[in-house]
Amino acid sequence: MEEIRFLDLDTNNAHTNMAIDESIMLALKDGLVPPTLRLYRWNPSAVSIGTFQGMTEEVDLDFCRSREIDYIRRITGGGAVYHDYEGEITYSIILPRGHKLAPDDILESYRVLCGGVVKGLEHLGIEAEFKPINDVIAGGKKVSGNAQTRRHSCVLQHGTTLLDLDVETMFSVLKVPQEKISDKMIADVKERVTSVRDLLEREVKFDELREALAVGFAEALDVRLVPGSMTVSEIESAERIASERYSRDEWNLKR
Amino acid sequence: MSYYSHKVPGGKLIKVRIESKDDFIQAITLLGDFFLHPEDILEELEESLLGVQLTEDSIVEKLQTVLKNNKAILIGANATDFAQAIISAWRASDRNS
Repeated sequence: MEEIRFLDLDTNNAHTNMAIDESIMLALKDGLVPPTLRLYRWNPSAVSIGTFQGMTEEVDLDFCRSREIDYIRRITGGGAVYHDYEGEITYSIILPRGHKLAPDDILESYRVLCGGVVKGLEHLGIEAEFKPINDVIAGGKKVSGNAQTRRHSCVLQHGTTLLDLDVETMFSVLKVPQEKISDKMIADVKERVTSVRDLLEREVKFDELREALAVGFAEALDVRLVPGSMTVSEIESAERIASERYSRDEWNLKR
Repeated sequence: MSYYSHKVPGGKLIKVRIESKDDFIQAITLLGDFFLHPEDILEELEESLLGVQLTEDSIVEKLQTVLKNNKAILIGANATDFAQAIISAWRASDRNS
């Protein structure tokens, strides 16, 4: 059975989290590390935007600064995501181009890799399914958003699984015209987005979701997860990428 | 500078910032939550539109040429969706001026 390095649940700030994804891609490209799955949280809580989005259009930076919420531009497309430290687990999977789990057909590869989230939720007793283009839904509502890039001879897919939903903070971080913030709209979001705790109607622990995602990815992708850690060169390159790219306004406020 | 946002049915959101003179594009920024692989082609797509006449056909042709030359893939929106959003952004500026 194929082995995938597993970097177990870890907590970092936004700059480091996004830089680690890239440092793993670079190390994998050079043949220094195996294909890798990582689970992580964001502390401080952060908002990430898709690589083609306008930061000031999507995010209320004054609110973020006042609440010490990080803001960051991803290298992947897709939409803005609020990563609440208390409310979600993010995963990243990095595979070499041409790997059987990362078909050239992008939609198909989303389906394959999102299978890890679907299977993980199943382990918690939640019936979920992949919804093209890049979502996982349960009970008709979005519970996981995912995004992918192909560069450095790798496929990177990262995605979030909501454990809890803080609609009020989410709306304050994401720029929604003031007049639109109403009880009605908050109700609407609760009709479109859900979380593991909402679905199971109990206080699911981080550790349960962590375990379920790890088992889910192993089963769905038919791989064995081998606990590992980042190499020294990955840590160094992540620090460099964080300082050269992700901590800079030139990148984060590029659009 | 005018601005327009368009949700592609069954797809993603496209936002356009545009400056035009007569009916030609002078400056343009394409934004949104769509996917484009490889991602760095977006700037080339924007540059290819400078000086282009604001007709759907001429915009689609430019975009498709760049996409084809780079073997690029758009997901959640296509060249026609972008062209229509660009034309709408331009018409919005007409109304403002």
